[in-house]
Amino acid sequence: MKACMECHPDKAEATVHVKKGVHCESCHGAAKAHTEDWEKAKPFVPSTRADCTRCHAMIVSRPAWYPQIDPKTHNPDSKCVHCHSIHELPAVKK
Amino acid sequence: MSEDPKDITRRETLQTVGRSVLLIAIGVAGGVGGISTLQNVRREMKLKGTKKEGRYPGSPWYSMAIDIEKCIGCGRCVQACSEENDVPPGHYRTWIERYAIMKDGSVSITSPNGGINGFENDIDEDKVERAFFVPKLCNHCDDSPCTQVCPVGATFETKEGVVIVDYDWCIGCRYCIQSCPYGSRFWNPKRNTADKCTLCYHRIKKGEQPACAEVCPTGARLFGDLSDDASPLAKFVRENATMTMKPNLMTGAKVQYKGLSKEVV
Repeated sequence: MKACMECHPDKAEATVHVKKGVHCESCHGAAKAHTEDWEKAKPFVPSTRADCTRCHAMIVSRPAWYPQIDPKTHNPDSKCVHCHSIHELPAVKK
Repeated sequence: MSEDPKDITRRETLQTVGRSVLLIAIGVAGGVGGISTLQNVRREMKLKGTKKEGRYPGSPWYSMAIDIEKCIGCGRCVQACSEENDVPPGHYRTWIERYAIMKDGSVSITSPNGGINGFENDIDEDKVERAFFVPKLCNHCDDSPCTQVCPVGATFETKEGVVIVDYDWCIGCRYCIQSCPYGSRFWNPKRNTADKCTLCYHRIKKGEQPACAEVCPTGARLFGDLSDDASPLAKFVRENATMTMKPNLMTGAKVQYKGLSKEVV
């Protein structure tokens, strides 16, 4: 996290996830190689519905306070990033 | 004196019984005395440690707290642990179990691939009374069965309270894997030794978090120093009702769980 912020401080300023305490590597995967040679090794960029629903899909055993959607009924044909911002606020694009 | 064979028999019998009873009594007393002395020595050693060095035998005294109400079962921790520690596929140093307590009283416990790819919503919501995720890992017991059974001392507790394996010293007898009441140990086919969670010892010695705690998006895993009252972990344990797994086994488990149901303990 500290290493990420050395080069990407802008990503932390208005990010819903970072504000909630989610670390960069939670979504981008282990990125040590990227810190050693940032041009060659690029971290994983989540872009599919599956990347988001892994945490935000409705599962009966998930705690009720946690934001969840039903992937079958919640705009099933569009990507999450069409409407939602990952690194900027507001979380739902205008 | 002429002796009646019947009298002699009776006397001899009584003498033999008397001697036996005496011997048994001495044996039992000796045995009990021996055990109690050992226990006393052990207790005294612990008390001395307590007096000298505070409430915990060492400082720092690392541990982890798990807030079950915060776990969303995404499996990022299992994935991060596997990548960080090069854990062979199909083996897990940490894993997530899903408990579903049904309305008919039955309990379903599932952990597909240790939860490394997350969970599907594949249980019938109408039949479920309540369901939750429980992240599990080595409890880093202070009186751990695994260190007691290791015949060569390859597994031991560090001065910070972390139970680790010396991979160069392990002879691969697998006693420790059988002895762990939490199922936290496994056979590592890559290394040909027993293996387990090290609380990411290589990371925490540098002041970093274990990989699982680092990536947990909801803060369900809290790593820290129990002996430091100002640490977030000590504060969490102080302010919440927490308990350890299988406390009846007196293993001295360190990992603290908040919201632990009786079905899990």
